[in-house]
Amino acid sequence: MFEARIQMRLGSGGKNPFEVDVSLSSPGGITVLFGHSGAGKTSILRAIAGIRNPDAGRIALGDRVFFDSSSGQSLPVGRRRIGYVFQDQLLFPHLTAEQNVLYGARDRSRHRARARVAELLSTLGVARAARRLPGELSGGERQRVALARALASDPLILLLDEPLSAVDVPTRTRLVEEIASIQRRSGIPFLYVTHNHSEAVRLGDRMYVIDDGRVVQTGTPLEIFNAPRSAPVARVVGTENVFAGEITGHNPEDGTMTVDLGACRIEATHADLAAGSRVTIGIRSEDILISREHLTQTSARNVLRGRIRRVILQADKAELVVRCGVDFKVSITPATVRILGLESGTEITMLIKARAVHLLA
Amino acid sequence: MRRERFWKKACAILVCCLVSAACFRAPREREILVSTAISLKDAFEELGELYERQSGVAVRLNLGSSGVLQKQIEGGAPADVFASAGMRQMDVLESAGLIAPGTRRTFARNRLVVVLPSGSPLELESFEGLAGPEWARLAIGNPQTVPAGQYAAEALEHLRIWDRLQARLVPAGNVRQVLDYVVRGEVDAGFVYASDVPSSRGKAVIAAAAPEGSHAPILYPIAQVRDAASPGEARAFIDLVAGGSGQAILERHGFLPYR
Amino acid sequence: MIWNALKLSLLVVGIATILIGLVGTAFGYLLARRSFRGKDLLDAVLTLPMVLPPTVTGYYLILVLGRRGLLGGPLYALTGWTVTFSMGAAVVAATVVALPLMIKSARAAIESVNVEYEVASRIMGKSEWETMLRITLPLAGRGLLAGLVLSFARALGEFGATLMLAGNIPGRTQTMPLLIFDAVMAGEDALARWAALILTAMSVAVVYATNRLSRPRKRA
Repeated sequence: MFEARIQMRLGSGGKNPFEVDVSLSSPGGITVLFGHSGAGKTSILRAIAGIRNPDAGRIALGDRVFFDSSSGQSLPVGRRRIGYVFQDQLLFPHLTAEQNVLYGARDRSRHRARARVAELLSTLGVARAARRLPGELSGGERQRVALARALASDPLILLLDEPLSAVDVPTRTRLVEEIASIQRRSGIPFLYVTHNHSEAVRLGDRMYVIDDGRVVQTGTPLEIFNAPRSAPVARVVGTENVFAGEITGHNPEDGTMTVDLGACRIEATHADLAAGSRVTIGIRSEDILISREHLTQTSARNVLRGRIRRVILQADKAELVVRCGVDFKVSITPATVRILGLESGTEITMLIKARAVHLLA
Repeated sequence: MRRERFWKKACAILVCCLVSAACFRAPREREILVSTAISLKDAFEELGELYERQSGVAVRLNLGSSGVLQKQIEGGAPADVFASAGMRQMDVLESAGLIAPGTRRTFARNRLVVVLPSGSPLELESFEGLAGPEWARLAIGNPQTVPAGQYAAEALEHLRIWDRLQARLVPAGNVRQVLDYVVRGEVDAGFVYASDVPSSRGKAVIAAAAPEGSHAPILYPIAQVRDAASPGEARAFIDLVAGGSGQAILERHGFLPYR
Repeated sequence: MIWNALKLSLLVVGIATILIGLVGTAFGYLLARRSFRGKDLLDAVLTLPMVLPPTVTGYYLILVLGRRGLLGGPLYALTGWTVTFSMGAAVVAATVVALPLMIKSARAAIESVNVEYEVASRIMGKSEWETMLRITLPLAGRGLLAGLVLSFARALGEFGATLMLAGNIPGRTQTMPLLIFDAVMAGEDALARWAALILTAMSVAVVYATNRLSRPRKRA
């Protein structure tokens, strides 16, 4: 069980001091830290790694205490058995891929270390890049080597700081699946920092939304994306409805395909992916029209009847959380809420064009 | 715009300064340049002041070891007078025709002594005593260019201890440097002229003098350089040095008179 | 005569360069990676021999290491030995004068290495010492080498401080620059010319070789 309570004040002397005050825990699996840049996510990771100690708090992995301000304990960086994957990989430019990974290995015997390194490189699909320098590798290859290096030291927990932000979309899709499978096989908890919806959904067993140095909501990624509990959270997660689903069929004449979200089926624009593919789709909350009456003769490919679960009213906009199998965020004007007399429990119809349902990368 | 104006002003001021400096040269007072062996420094400073008082002509000293001064004159240095601590250097210039004929005079003598740092725990009674093992470092003017060093080498050879002392010698560029090494305590003893000792203000003491006949007599020649800019003044200065008042001053500075 | 001076120069500068490399890199690392009270003062003091005229540096060296010096005095009383007028003095003079060059170069080279690499290494469990040896210094390699070459050249040509602390003793402390000085003073033009030529050729050779070595390796 990983637990962290971190309080610290950041900000280079004079400038706006920035306070971080968070409480996290992870029983295992992948925990996502989600937020905009500057929200403090990286600082939290670095505090956990021991690069910069918090002003107050406690960080422990099981009975291994990394830091405890009340007792003055602080385990040195090198003894925490942490693996860290940096945003820009930070592979040592003067060492080959193999040497980079070997650098982290802790094995007593050289022979065993080399064997492990070879195994790691091949698991991550970069065995052929072993003798090359980082400068000669592609972005995706570099990221894989960085992962291998972090895993080579046999860590007890892996910290990943936006590892896929500099990688192109097709590679990112593949790497996400690989990261998930690596975590399953290694069994150690992962702390994964990102501001990408798709990564969060595909990887996160649970998610913490960080805003302005504080945790503003926790839950599963899908829960949070589609049912933000407050305006700040809504601001951070954006107005996308994010769903994980599976393509069940294509309708070539219509130019659409059917995506099964589990509790709901959606028609999306046709994409060149085989039936059975797992996808993440997004629908902007502004793109959903609603009607109190049930309409059938419309141009929308998706006509869904659902029940309002929550109304979030603000001065200039309003948001509804509507359940139709899954929870949808719908963005409308406050006037509409008044005029249509919308409140929690009201049944309404949602109209969504297939074009408005897009594939998230 | 402002930048440009600043630089223009700066240039103008600089030019003005340079021009006025060029125009404002001090009126060339008459002076002679005397290339002087270092051991003559204090004596010649006083002689120069005396000459200036009497004739209104300033005397500027160019100090160095005699060998170096000789090379300078060979190389065309603009000296009016050459006062050397060794005959050899003057002989070389004379045979090269660089000395105005008939102007060479010998004007002083000196003694070679060995000095110790004051407060040195070691004791010495004669030059021969230097052969003892406790004398680890001995300063000597470089015999190639420093007359005092030549004389010392001669004396040590005469006493048959030159070979034995070879490895312990620390050569110096001129005789005052020898004295400096002794005063600083960097060496155990050094070979200088008796006339050099007073300038150490007691920090170096004479332990022994070179035995009679162990080296050629130390004679100081002076002459006018052939291409002197002021030959008349040069000869007048030489007359002063070799004359009564000059000799008195030299004696006061530890030199022996030459008659 | 020339061979003696040449051998001596090579020996003195060789030893000096090794000392400069070690001490210079150490100070460069300290100034680049640590902060402590008095850091700027230390930097200023270490830079001093570079900006002072060599004769002034020589003067201070005598003050400290001479037979009656601050450190030399007690040393002489204890062991009966001083460094002045020995080959060691030539090494000391060359090292002191060229050290600031190495320190400045090393500091700049190390500062140019991304600190995050060191962070990554520490997280992987390596000590600061190991990180410095395996990551920081190799990455700063080019700059360190450049600094070493500069220092070598400075040490090779060192004259003023050497003359004052080590004297000009043929066979023992007469390095090439001192030999050339003597030769010119004594009017031995041929000797001076040859010595100068050899010294120039040596310096050019070293600089050339180093430039070749530090060129990035061509990719196959």
